[in-house]
Amino acid sequence: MQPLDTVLALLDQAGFRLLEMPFVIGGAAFEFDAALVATGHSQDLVVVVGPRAERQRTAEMLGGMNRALDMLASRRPVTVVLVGEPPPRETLRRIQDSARLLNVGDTDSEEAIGDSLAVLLPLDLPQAGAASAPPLDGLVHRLGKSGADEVAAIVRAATQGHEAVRAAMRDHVEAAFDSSSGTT
Amino acid sequence: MTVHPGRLEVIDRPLRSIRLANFRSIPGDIRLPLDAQVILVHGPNGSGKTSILSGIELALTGEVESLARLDDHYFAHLPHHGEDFAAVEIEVADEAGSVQRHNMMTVGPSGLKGSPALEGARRRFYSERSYLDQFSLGRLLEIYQHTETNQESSLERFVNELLGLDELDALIEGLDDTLDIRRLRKTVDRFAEAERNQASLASQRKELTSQLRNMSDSIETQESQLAEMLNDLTLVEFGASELLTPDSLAEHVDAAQLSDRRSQAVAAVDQLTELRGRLMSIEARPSQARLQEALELRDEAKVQLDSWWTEHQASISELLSVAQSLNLAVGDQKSEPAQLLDLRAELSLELEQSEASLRQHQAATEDTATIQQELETARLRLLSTSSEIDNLEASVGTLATGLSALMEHVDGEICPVCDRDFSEMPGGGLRSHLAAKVDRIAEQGDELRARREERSGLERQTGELERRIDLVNRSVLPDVEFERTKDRLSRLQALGADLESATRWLLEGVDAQGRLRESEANVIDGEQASQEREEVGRGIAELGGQLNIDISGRTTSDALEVLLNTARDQVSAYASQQATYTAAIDLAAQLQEKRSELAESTKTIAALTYRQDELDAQIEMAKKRRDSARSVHTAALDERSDIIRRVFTQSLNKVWRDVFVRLAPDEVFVPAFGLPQAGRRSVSFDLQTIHRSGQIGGSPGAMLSAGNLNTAALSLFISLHLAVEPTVPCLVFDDPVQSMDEVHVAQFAALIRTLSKQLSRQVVIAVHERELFDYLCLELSPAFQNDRLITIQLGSQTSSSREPFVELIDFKPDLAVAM
Repeated sequence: MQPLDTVLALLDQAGFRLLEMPFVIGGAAFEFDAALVATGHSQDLVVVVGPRAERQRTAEMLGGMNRALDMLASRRPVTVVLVGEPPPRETLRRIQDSARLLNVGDTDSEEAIGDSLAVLLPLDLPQAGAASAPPLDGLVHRLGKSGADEVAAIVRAATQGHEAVRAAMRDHVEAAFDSSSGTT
Repeated sequence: MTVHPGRLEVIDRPLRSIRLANFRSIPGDIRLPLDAQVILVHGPNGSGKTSILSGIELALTGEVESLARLDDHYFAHLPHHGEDFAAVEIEVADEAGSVQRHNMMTVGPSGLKGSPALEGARRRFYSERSYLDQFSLGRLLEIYQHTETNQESSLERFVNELLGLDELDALIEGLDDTLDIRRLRKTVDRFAEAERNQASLASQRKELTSQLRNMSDSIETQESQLAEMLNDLTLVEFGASELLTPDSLAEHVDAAQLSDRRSQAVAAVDQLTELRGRLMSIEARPSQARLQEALELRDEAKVQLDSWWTEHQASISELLSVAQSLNLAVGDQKSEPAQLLDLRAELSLELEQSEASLRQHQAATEDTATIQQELETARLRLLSTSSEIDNLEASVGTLATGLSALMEHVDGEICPVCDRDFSEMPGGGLRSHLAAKVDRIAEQGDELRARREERSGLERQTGELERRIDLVNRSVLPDVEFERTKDRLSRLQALGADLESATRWLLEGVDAQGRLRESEANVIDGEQASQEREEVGRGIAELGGQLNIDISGRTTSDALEVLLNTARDQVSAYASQQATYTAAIDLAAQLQEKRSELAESTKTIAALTYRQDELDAQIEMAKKRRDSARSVHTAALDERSDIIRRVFTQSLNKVWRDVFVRLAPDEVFVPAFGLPQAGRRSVSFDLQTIHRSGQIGGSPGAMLSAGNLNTAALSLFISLHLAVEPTVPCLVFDDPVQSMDEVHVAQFAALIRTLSKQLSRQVVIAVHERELFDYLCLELSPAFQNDRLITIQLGSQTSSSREPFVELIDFKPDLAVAM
């Protein structure tokens, strides 16, 4: 997949909505390779500049867009995602003045692209307290149903400390001597 | 988990307001609202940003940790310069969402009064996970680094809590005995006991089995012995397999008959022995020829005796009658001549007696006269003494008694008798006079006593003399008897003379009598011997018949010997049979006992074997159970490793990476926790870096620039906060960017935005850079309904306006872009 498409796909997954080109702000029309707005708890406006877009022109358009936003007293944060070869430093600076710049670069790797876009993407937290599933549950699962039933008392004793476990183990083994027939 | 759509309002904002009075750099009494998702505090250095944040810290936790580290008495320095005490008061919303205005706390030199708004877990969470003060940022990685000492760092503690491995650790430790059979034995007493029992049973069984074998062998031996014995008893009708018991033996052998036969044989032996004895004594007796001789001698002796009698009969009768008239005893067992001869001895005895009697009489008569004289003398003396005594008694008697009695009544010198004054009399007083009188009487008394003694002596003497006379008198014969004795004496003497002269022919007579007796005895003897011979012969013949031996043609003694030997042989034959029989019975009884012992032992062994099998099965079962317990140990170890790996790689490292990468997107080395060696209790870990390519690099300290190191610390702080359920969903940063370079302001702002908007944490940030503050205001503008931003701007100490400038900015939908 082309990096540009990857970018769009990631942003889409993160809840950004693609704007139709061209889009209008305060009466002025703007066109880029892609533009998206965040939905949900964010007001981000993201402009995606692909590898073939002319950098200089892009910078100028961005400047214009910012002015338009300012005039409407918009507080939307603007982010520019640059895919492909970075522009010369001067252009870069101009872009950075008006927006947050995320430099995806030439890479194809989805992970690298994702890293570059990180600030726009939600922070995925694994199940809070990754060990929130009680460890004993995992243990019981490992033992299998029949295995776990047999040693249920030992596992139960775990909540009361290692001495209780030792005692439960002793009881478990000693139970062998309680049956008079010597069979299970 | 991304967004909690529902968790918008209340619980996202635990802090609601803070009131500070004279606290640190803040003069006066101010109340600042905190009721927003983001609170930005700006002010130049020294304007009070830290005061505000530490005031919040004090109100929530009861201490200012960064100051507490430096000075135990920091409370004294908390009031504003010149004030005695400071106060803080905070409003918080609890988990249920209700807002509490907590009681004001005051602090001063005397210490802190009032209790903090947070307790226990919430307090700890705020201190460690929510609030990052300036002092800590620089030291974060240092604090988090595992130290060589065994003290668990707070991070390690946190991670261990995060891992929640207590229970697994309990299983791992509690089951470690299952790994080693020796430890298992120590813990599981019954197992060790069972093993011991097993060993002991095995050895018992071994021993019993060998005993059993011995018993079997011994039984076999004895059975063959018994068989032999039965052969001897010629009881061949027993089959070899027949079990011989004492009872069955008794049935087949008539012990009584055997006994009878033996007794008969013994009797025969006795009889034959007796006959032999008789036969031997017969040899010693006179033969038939001798018998004839004896008869002739007897006749001759008879004739001689008869003629002697004729000659002397008369004299004998006469002498005897004289003896009788003298009362001389004659034994009548013997013949008359013998009697007379014996008489001589008695006669001399009688003579002697009579003579003695006469002699005694004479002596006694003389003695009596002497004694009589003595007696007369003594009696006279006795009389005189008695009269003297009477005299003395008369004078002594009552006078002494009377005078003594009188002495009692003497008082002074007046005589109790005549009432005259004795002092008129010469020679002492009345009492002494009386006493002298009494003394004299006493003297007389002494004499009296002496006399009495004398009298007693004399009485004894006379008594004795009288007795002597009696004694002597006994030997005195009365006249009649005296005469008689004299007469007897002379008659005895006459008889004696007669006997002397008859002695010769008396002896002859006795001789003749003796010869006759002897010859008669010989005759009888011979006749008896003859009879005996006949009897013995008959006896032998009878026994010969009984024993069924033909003795015809043998001499008597030969026949006897043959019979005797035969009978003896029979006796020993029967005896030995009896012995064999008894022994057989004995042996059979022993065998019986042994067989039952054998049966018992066999049963015991069977029971032992059964028990052994049972025990073996139990021990096997115990081992299986041990194995199943060990599988729990293994599973716990595996689960533990798994959890650790998961938490570290998936949870901690992943979040850290995500946060770090957002803050420092150009850094190729991403810090991470090295996978910890899952030790016994707590995990310990190292910090390392991972290149974007996946290769593991050195520690962050080695691989990152100072600035990125701070970024690593900051991102770690944030990721630790995010790793757990937020007990206090609040992040408070005191100028975090100050010591970071290469931080893209935009990156930082975006991260804060994510934390507050997407992850619903209330964020308080204090910054001193104007640019950053402005940018943050923009970046952190309210983005949705109910979202709010509060800005607090503090002037410098020198500025005129001393009140903080507070703005509350609420959400306004953006109209610029058509949605």
